[in-house]
Order: sequence, then C-alpha cells, then structure tokens
Amino acid sequence: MSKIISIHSFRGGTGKSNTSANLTAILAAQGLRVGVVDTDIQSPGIHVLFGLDEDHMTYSLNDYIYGKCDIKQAAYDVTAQVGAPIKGQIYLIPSSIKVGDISRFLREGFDVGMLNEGFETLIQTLKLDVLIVDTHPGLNEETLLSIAISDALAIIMRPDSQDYQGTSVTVEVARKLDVPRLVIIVNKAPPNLDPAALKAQVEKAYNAEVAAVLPHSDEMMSLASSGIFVLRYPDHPITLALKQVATRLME
Amino acid sequence: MTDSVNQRAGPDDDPEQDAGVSGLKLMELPPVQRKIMRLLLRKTQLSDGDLRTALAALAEGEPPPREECDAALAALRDQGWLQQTGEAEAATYRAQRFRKTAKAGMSRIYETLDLNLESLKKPPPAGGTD
Repeated sequence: MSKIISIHSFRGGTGKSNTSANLTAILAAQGLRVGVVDTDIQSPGIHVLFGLDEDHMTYSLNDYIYGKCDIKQAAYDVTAQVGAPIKGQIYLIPSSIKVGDISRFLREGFDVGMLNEGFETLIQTLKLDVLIVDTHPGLNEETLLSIAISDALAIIMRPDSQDYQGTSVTVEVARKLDVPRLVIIVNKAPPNLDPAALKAQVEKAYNAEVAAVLPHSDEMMSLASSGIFVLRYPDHPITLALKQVATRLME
Repeated sequence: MTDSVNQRAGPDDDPEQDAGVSGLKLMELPPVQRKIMRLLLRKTQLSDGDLRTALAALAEGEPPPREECDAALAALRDQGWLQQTGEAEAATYRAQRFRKTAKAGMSRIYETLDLNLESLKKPPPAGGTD
C-alpha cells in the first residue's frame, strides 16, 4: 500500500524542504516511485532543489486547487534533473512562485478538501509508492489535513529554545490525530552538543522517537539548495543518517 | 505574531468558513469516529466492506464491534461529516469537503490549541542557540 509521509516543522528555517527533497531522493534511489508535493503555498521553494525553474512550470498546485488543471498536469517528472542516476521515479508537484498566485491564496484561501482528493489521485494515476508532503511551517487547515491522512510524520526541529514549544504543540496535535508513526529529526545541531545526549534529552522531553540528530554542515550550507545533498555527498554522515530516517518512516 | 502564525486576509464572517470538515474538530472526535474520518479523508470514498476491513486493520487489539461502527457512522452522518449513498452492506461513504481556509480559521486554530498549553509550560530540553 502506498504511504503518505508529511514533513513538518513549527517554525521556518529548520531545513524542512531540504529534508523532504533528500528523503524523496533516497527513496527514489531505492527504486520507488515517489511524489513530493509542496504545500507551502505561502513560501514555496522545494522546486529549486529539483532544478525546476519557473519557465518550465506550466501548471502548479495553485492551478489545481483553483480548478485550472487536474493534479496530474501539475506533476513534473524531475528524475533526470537531480544530477545522479535514480532507479525509481520522482514527481514534483510545485507551488506557484508567481506573486499573483500567492496573494490569491492569502486573500481567498481554498477548499482544503481538494488536497486530499489530489493526493489520492496522484497516488493512483502515477502509481506512487510514496507521497511526501512538504508542509507550511506552523499549523493551518492544510497542515492538519496532511498530518491527519499521513502514515508517518517527521517533525524537524533545531536544538533551539524557540523551536521547543512549537514542536511540543505539533507532537500533541499529531497524537490527537492518531498519526501511526511519528519521528523527530533534530537538525543543524551545533558541534558543541553531544548528539547522543541531545537525542536522549529530546526523546525524554517529547516521549517520541528521535530518528536522527543532524549536525550543522558546511557542505550543506555551501550547496545552498543548488542540488540534493544525499546525491552530491552519498557517503556523508548526514546522508547515512537520512537513510536511516527514510527506513524508519517506511516501516 | 511569529512567522508560524498564518495571517490571511479575508472576511471573518464568511459563512463558507464554517462549512465542512475541519482539522480542529477532527481532533475532538471520539476515537472510532476519528478513525473513520481519517480513512475517508485518505481514500476519499470507501465502500462499507472496505471501510470495515480498514478499521479492523487499524485496530491494535480487537476491531470495534459492528454496532459501535454503525453508531459512529450515524453520528458522523448526522453531523454532516460524511455522505452516504446506499444502505447497509451496499453503502458507500465519502468525506464531506474540508472547510475552506482563510484568516478566521487560522486564528481559531491557535485559540483552540491553547488546550495544549500544558505542554508549553515544560522547560526546554536543550540550551537555545539563537
């Protein structure tokens, strides 16, 4: 059965889109057919990681939710664009980066029910093994829906006091919505923190599994979203840790 | 407001905002009703047989008895959360549309999530870095 995996963080700047793209690449490299949807409609960005530019974006998720196209028309096969051979398939459903489209969303909202219908259509028509949902930070109706229908949820947080409370709320919301599998990824951990101690501390605080503690990485910073880290650095410790996360999310 | 709070322009009294299923209400449903709604939102629509099979697969112990499922389905139908066509074993269920998003809905999310404030009173697990 196909899986829906949501990637969420309460605050922005945690590395959510990067993590979504990397998990997508890991699973596709294993031979799976993977869709990745950018539901961060207010501040889209994951298309950059997959090398999809605006000129080649005929339709977007925005066009689907406002009835201008069907969801499959907004899905782009970006497998050949990731810069490394991939056994499986990657389909990206980007959000629009046009100012008018974003302002319409902010002004009018949309029928969130379109999203779950679209997800199911994508899974069926593209024969997806996995659909990864890159959510908007914070909590809104579309995020709650994504969490509610997910088989697994990865919550990204930094070891930062500002992230702590929001992550706590998200963990509780996920539990109330009966998400079958919930993991936390601690990202951008500074080198002065002991990863094992940090993992134990966060697991105790949230009573939830920490699937990985990812250190701050100069290579990741240097890449600056111009590619997919796990494909560029296949033997890097962060890549190995993300592979473990992918395994946990798929179990 | 933090960057996490979604501010959207839009009329606060738009009746469309109160129509349909909402994530906040989903959290407050009794367990069997919530399980049914999660399945229907995921699969869009399910036959009676497929729904009961899926519910049984979700159950960690014994699946909920048929009478309990019937009562949950009736309650959801009465609340306007699902649409039913056909009867008994020939029935098909479909989730009512999720409500439209807009500014009013957003503010309610954070008001409602105040119920989670207990969790916010705990001290941070790690020292802050920024």
